[in-house]
Amino acid sequence: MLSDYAPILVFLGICVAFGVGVQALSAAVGPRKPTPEKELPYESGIVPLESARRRFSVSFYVTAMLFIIFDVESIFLFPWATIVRDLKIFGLVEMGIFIATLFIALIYVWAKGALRWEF
Amino acid sequence: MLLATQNLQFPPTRDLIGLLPELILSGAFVILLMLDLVTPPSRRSLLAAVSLVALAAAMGAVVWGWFDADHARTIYAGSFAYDRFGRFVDGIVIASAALTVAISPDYLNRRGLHFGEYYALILAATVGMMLLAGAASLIVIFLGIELLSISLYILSGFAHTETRSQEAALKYLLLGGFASGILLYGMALIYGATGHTQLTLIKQSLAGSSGTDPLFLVGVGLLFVGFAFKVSAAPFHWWTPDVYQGAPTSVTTFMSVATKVAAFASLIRVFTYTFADSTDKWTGIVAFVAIISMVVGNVAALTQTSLKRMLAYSGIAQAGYILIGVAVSPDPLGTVGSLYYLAAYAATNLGAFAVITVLAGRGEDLDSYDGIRGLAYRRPYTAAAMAFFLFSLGGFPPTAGFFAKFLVFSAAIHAHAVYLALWGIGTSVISIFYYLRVGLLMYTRPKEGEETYPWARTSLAGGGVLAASAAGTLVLGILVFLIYTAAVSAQHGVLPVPQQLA
Repeated sequence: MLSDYAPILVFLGICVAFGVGVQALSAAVGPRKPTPEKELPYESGIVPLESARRRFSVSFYVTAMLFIIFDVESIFLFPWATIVRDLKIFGLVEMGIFIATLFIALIYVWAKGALRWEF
Repeated sequence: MLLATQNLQFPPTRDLIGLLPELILSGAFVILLMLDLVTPPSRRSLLAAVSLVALAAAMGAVVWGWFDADHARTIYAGSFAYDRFGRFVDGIVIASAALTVAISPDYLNRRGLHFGEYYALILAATVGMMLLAGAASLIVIFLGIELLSISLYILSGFAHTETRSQEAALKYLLLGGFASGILLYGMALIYGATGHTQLTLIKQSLAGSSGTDPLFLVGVGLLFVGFAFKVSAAPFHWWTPDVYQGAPTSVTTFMSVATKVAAFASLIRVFTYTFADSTDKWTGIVAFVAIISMVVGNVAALTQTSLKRMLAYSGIAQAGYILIGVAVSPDPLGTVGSLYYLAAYAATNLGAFAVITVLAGRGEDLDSYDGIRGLAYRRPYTAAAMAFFLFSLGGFPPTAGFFAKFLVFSAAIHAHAVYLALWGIGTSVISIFYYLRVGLLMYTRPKEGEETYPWARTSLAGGGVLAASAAGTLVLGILVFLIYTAAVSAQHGVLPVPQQLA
């Protein structure tokens, strides 16, 4: 039973060996002539303006969380849509309850002010 | 052809009825969130009333389900067990939730924490616990644990302006998330070893084997660690004192009782009944954890000077006693003992924490031993109730604690595990010391002109909750056959397929 998983182990081993091997090879034989420009973090060709470790508004976090909730809703909707005819009225009611619950949650966060940007 | 859709079975009405209590509380959760938006802050006690009505309705559904589930069956394709075992535990969980909600409005008002989400979250946690108690599939077990845990993470940090409450919430979240990960890993390995997530099918596929597959055994170990964390058994108990102390006391009241009851129900269903054919492989570990919990909990409680931390360590020790009932698997008396112990623990511990909640004044929680000094001379009835709960926790007759310990220890002796009973009795003797110490403090007369803690006035609801807990503790200590018969019946019907009581 356990030996069925041996290929996974072999695969993992090859992956690790390849990753480490390539890095080691390039460190060993590659030329290295650092200049200040080369040491800069890569920002798509633009010179970085400031440190990346700055504080972000908590609003980003709240918005991202709400986004994920509705993202997940659409993920649920897709497989449901493919078989909605076979599920008949039961499937329709079930999805109605699901969307209604999410809608109530939206009303709740809206009323609580989670969608405001400035505090 | 994507799916054999014509073979799809839709849940028939009887499946929905099996989840009726959970559905009632989920509906109430949504209603509470909406009501909170339109209720003025001064009227928030109304939300508590709505929660109580929903809990009463759910309790009615559970009682009806107890009679309906006479012939146990699984619903939703074997993922949920509709049996008396689940209903028994649901009853304890709902009663705990109702008593917690009843003492909450006064307490939250005094602490300035009265927000509507509190009740919604309590109900959400209750639904999670009920799902956990009835879960007959690894997926539903995880779902139930996450639902109850996430609600409780938020509730622990409900006193959001206090560092201690924030610390409790963060600590609980991080350690709880870690424990969930371990639990999930164990589930994945068990699925890998058996090819199933439904407990009945896992049991079937284990019946042919000797249960020595290393994949399976590692999974069982990880699963046990996850459960041991949730029931706060040593050595997985480190979060318990900090979280119990930091969380608002009404939350601790609920958390310390209901979480433990629900998690133990699932632990028993998975270990004693699903892994029944390989008990010799894992009972040793369970017995070891039981002993460690009894020793660590009771010894650490001796040195505490905070009421909540003392009760937290006492809860760890109690988890050890309840684990004895699991460690003697497959002896059915062990399950009966554990179930009885859970009911007794719920009534008693809820009462003890409710006393601290009801007495807490404005601002800081009542927590230090000094805060309870001389209580008996100002609040004789409350002090008497607390003394009664402490006696029950210590296992004195005629209280619930005495018969709970008696049943668990006699199950150990019946299963030829006398050493477990001896460890239990030995550590109980230690426990009497710290319970009595608090009891004596309450009956110490304050010196002339000495300031006592400004105890809050006990409201009608608070007094009612204390009376109900005390009555429960007394009934479980005197009319033993009532709950004992129910526990035997619950054991008899437990899914998947129980051992019969000899």
